[in-house]
Amino acid sequence: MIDNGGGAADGMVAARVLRAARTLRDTPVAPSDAWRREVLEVIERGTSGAPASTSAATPARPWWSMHPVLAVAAGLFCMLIGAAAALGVRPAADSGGAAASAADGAPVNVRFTFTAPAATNVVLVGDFNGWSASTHQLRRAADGRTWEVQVPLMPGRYAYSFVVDGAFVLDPAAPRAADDDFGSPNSIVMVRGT
Amino acid sequence: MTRMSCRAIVVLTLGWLGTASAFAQGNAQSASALSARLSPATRAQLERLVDSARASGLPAEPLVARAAEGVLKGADEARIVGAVRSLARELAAARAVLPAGASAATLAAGAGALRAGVSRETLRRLSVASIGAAEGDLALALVTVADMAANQVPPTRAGEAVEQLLQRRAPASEIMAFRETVARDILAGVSPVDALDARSRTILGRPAAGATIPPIP
Repeated sequence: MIDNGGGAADGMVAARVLRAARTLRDTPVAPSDAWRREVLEVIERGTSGAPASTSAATPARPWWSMHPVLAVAAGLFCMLIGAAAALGVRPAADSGGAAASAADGAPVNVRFTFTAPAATNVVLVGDFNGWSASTHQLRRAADGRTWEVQVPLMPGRYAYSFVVDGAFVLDPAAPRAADDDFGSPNSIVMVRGT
Repeated sequence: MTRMSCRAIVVLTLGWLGTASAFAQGNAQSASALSARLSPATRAQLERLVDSARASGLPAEPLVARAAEGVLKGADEARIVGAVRSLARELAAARAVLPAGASAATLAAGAGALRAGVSRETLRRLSVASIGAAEGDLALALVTVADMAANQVPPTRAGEAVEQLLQRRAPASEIMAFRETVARDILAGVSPVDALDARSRTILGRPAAGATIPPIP
């Protein structure tokens, strides 16, 4: 309870409290060693890796900005991701299966393979490349016997043929098309939508 | 917008344009090859055929592709025009039998089956059997029957076997395996009819993958 009533005793108490307060104020505080170490550690953690001296010379960079090289690299990365999405790059399906599956109507990479150890040049021609002999050259695989190429195809039915050292050759693993209007039958690959 | 942001957008745009142009490369090369290697009179004939097909709702791509194939294979121009005309007729015949709204792939597969000697009745039966099946199953069935017919399997028998697979909702992998095994047997010297019969017994004698077995009464 606080009593605000006056009196001599109260005046003496007040004078003693004032003296004690002055004594405390004028007495230097000596921090302990442990406290001092703790403060120094906090200061060191706060300044490590961020030298304050450079902030005055270089204006602060906004959080969304980046180095030009990083910006170009990020652009190229996004381009690759976008191209992959646009072309529907997926695990390749074999043409010999005759029914590669394209989920959600996107193109699917179809792998065409042909075994011809003695061949020197194998080309893939078909409905998907306008029967052009210059767009899909097969590459010899590591086994030295197989030739292969991957082609992104939309769902559909495609007639195709291999051109092995200038001769049109059927794909032995795929269905055969009955229509051979031009003297050499074609193979068929089906790319199915879902 | 900063200069760096502009640069990133330019890089992205160029990337997309490059991708699109690479994808369209085949068609452009096809068109230019046709233009360069056919006489103006033949080109005009082909354009009329393609325009006519397009006007009647048939897909133009198979016709253009057939002409391009003829050019690559060194066929004479009269033969190329004849082949394109035949294909247009077969596409129209296939469309008359196949379900309305059949995809270009299905129509092309139907045209190929007709060319292989498969009857319109078989096409119709396969169409009915594929109702409710996955998209592309009918085209795959038509390609399968056409392939068997090209391997000297009687088209009607091949059609009946594939029709049963469709009715059982056999997955595409099973239809493909059926074709492959029949073709392999024929290559090994088994007669086409025997190969079809043996493989039909094997694959049709057991329930299709995922099919519900009806209870025994």
